[in-house]
Amino acid sequence: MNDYRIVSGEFSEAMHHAIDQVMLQKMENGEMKPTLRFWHRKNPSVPFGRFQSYQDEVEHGYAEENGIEVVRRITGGGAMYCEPGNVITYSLYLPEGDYPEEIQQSYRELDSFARDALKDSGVNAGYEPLNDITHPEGKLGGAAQLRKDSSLLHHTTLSYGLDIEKMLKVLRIGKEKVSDKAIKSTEKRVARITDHTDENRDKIIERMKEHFSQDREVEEDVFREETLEEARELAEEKFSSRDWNRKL
Amino acid sequence: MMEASLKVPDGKLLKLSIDDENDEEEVELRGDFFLEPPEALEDIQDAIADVRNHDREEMVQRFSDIDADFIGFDEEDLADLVIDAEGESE
Repeated sequence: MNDYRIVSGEFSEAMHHAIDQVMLQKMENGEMKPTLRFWHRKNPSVPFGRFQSYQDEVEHGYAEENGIEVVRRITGGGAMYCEPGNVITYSLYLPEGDYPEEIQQSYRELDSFARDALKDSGVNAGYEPLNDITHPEGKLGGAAQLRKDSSLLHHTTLSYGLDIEKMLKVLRIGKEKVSDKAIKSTEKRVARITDHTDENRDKIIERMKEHFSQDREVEEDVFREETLEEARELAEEKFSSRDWNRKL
Repeated sequence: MMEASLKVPDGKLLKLSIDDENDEEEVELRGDFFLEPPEALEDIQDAIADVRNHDREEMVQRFSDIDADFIGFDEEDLADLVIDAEGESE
């Protein structure tokens, strides 16, 4: 059985995505233990899907005026709005054999520890295919994956206490010229953890760590300096660049 | 410029634009879908450029020959999207 580690850190949005890319590659190279990483943010941000267009998704003027850092992910899926302390984001880096080969099944299983933690806090969290974490009142969050030959990145963001008004201002939800049906689906109601529990964010993260550790050998760990160094370079060259963020 | 978008029922949103005003035809597929490996996006865009004037069955065949997992859409959706884009231009 594998040993697992948990790491956490506060970084810029660009740096978080760079760390994802570097740590997935280390997992793929067999240079790292399977890891659960909790993200903490420095500034508000919009991570958007690898195949989405910046212009389609982001209200550029509003993002600029409000210091919202917009970064294209290495994973597919949709755009989200994030605020420091108001979302919970984590990444899993896992080796082959540690996740179901079948994609839908892997989405369902890999977030189960987080849904169980939310249920402990009194938040009735469920799963809706393909990649949503839901509450009877709306969508709590979503996941996205990237697979290498023998490893996987799975990252998930949950809305803790997001400012929905700001979210609707920075994301171009429903402003796109698409069919009514498409608009309806993107406007799926947002549910927030704070609307359903008084527990603070740290407590919920603690519960998530506990659930993750229930059937695994887990140690709290810190980032390797070389990981951060590689990531810093990548954050600057790729995830802060127009070439990457505005390529579509 | 030909454009179309399709929200796949229980799936993802696909948006296609085909710019055929220059010699070099440009196909762009965007949306909140997933694709493994992600680099296969170029193969899909090339395939669209190749078969966009063919009939639906040929399109579906060509798209299903691409060595990638489409997640949140399938080759039938891609064919519908291309046909929709072509219809819009007429």
